[in-house]
Amino acid sequence: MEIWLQQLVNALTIGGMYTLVAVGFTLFFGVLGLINFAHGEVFMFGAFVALTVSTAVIAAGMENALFIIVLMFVVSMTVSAALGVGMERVAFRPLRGLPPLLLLVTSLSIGIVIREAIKEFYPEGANPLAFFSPYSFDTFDIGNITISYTQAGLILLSILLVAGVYLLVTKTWLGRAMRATSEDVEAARMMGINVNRVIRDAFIIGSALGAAAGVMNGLYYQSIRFDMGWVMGVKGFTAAVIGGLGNVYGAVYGGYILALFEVLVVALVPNGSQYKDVFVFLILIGILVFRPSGLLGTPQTKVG
Amino acid sequence: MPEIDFISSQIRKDDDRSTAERVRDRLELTGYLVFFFILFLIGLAIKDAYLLMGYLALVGAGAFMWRKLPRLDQRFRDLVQVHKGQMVLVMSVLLAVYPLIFAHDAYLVHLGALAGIFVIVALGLNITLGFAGLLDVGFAVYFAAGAYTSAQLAVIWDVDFWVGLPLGGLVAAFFGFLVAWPALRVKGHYLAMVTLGYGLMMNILHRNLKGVTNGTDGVINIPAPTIFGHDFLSPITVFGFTLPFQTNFYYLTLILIAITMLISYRLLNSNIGRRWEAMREDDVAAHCFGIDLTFNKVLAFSTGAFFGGIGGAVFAHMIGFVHPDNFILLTSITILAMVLIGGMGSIWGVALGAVLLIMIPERLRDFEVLRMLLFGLSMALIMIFRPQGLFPSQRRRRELESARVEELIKASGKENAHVRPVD
Repeated sequence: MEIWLQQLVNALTIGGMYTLVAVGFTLFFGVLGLINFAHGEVFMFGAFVALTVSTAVIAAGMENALFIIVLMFVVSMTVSAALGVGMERVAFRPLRGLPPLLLLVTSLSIGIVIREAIKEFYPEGANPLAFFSPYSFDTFDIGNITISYTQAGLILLSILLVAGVYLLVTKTWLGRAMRATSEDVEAARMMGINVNRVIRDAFIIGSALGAAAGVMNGLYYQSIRFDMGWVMGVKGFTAAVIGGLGNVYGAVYGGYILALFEVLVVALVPNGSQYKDVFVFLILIGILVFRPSGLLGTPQTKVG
Repeated sequence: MPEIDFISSQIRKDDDRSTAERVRDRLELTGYLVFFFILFLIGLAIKDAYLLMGYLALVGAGAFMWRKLPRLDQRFRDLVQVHKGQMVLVMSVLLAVYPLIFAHDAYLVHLGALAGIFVIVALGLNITLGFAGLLDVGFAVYFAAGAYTSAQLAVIWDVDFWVGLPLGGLVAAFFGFLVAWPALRVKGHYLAMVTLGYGLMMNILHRNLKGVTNGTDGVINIPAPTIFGHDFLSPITVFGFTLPFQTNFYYLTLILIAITMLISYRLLNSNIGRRWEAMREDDVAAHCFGIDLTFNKVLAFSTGAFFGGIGGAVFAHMIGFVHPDNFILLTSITILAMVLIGGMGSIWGVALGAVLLIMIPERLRDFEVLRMLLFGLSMALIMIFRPQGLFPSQRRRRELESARVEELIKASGKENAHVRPVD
């Protein structure tokens, strides 16, 4: 029993990251009909920005760990949001309206550029780098399960961020404009929505959340690597598909479902950790083929 | 069968030009082709990576200028269009003498053979993607299927290469068939994702199914083919002139390319090719006209995969070693890039795209660290500035132009409709 509860806590932590990445995928797909494969690399980029921040701040003599972590999140999310907007402006805007394949390949290429740039130009970028994570070894117990402060903080933070996105999408003007744009670009335009601005804002939000997930990933595993973005990209995308691509509510539960599923596979299937990703891809294919509007299905989702 | 001419060219096939004019045209075309081939050879002969970069920039600038001279450009297109036979002849001769020119440099011949293998594979994807319009982002699966099948047959059961080659193709076609079933239900982005997931999944299986693929140890000591008692690992001697043993593989790929091109061309201009094109343009309309979508899509996937498998089988026997790292996502992206850069649906364009994408990165080995970065960057730039590919088929070019014009109209309409900015 304790083992299962412990696994549940782990799933909640990882699921939070998947969800944050998935929200990005689903936003981009909603407003632009684009599967942005560079998004996984934005996640990785965010982690590297945070690492730079922590290194610089510690070198400057700062010692308050909590403050450093907050600073890491803020700077990383800001810089990555700028990267996302730049990407949209330079690469995706000129290609709007062209066949999906071109957008797909462009985003893959941009992902390669970001990954290789980090690998080559970041000091020691080709090796795994230790990440600043001060609270990982301080733990507390609830009943028989052990939780580190980092883990607790991450679960809380991801729930906060997800709740924030939820409120943003449901309650604000911008959220309504985004939903309108993903429903029907032309109609949204006629209602006086500045679609370009909505797309830009979607990239700001999506990239910032992706970067936050990257920092969380660093804090959780205490090390980051230049090639971690790709796997996370596919997982986040799968999570978005589970929830129904283009459906922000779906992305919220998709990430947690995927994480739970992974934990179950590792626990139940012999040699599960080796074949874990095979099951993830099977789910991806299965849902795309048989339930393209998401696992729980939402009729208003656009299927393309 | 009379060929339908969609393109209004300045030269017509059935016009009343004199024989002298036709001969002059043919000579002119030959001149162009030889000139391009020499440019290509010069590029290959440059050893220094920085010098090569400069040369590539120069050629790129030249190509840009060429595009700015529409009459010259159109003239060349017309010549190619009308004198197809002459072009095939000239290209065959030029490619056949390639190993003779570089007889002293085995590495360049090897590079030629490697490029040849990927030309076959890219032509395979061109059938699925270029002709039938089905996005396949997991093409390395078929390449792997052909390579593993033929390699394991040869290593374990001592099966001859000439039997393993078609079997490799058939097993690859079966893998294409496997993904075609789920792929029938999805389109566009979703299809791309299904095939991408398939590719990633199969690569994990390559690594972990040790009984079938030897896992990460790879298959080693794959024997080279023999023909009429001539071992492919022994050099060719003609008139006291010795060619490195890689020449064997070079000519093998050249013959296979010729066959693949011929089949591609015949398919494209056959009933099947027309059905694929109809499907690509509008599958609902095609269905209404009685085209069996299921059969034709499965056929397109399997046919494309077959050539992927053939390429894989030759690859396995040429390199002599097969490893899961050969079939990662990047392989699939590179194959996809060959087709896109070459120009989807254009047989010669795709072949050229494959050659460029194998040779240029190989020759830039000095830039080892920046190679991937340059690859990604140039891919993105080509997609943004020349989405129809470098050497597009005429029809594809028009399609993209009209798509872009529509988007421009939309964008300009927006300026007027946009009365009051929100937020």
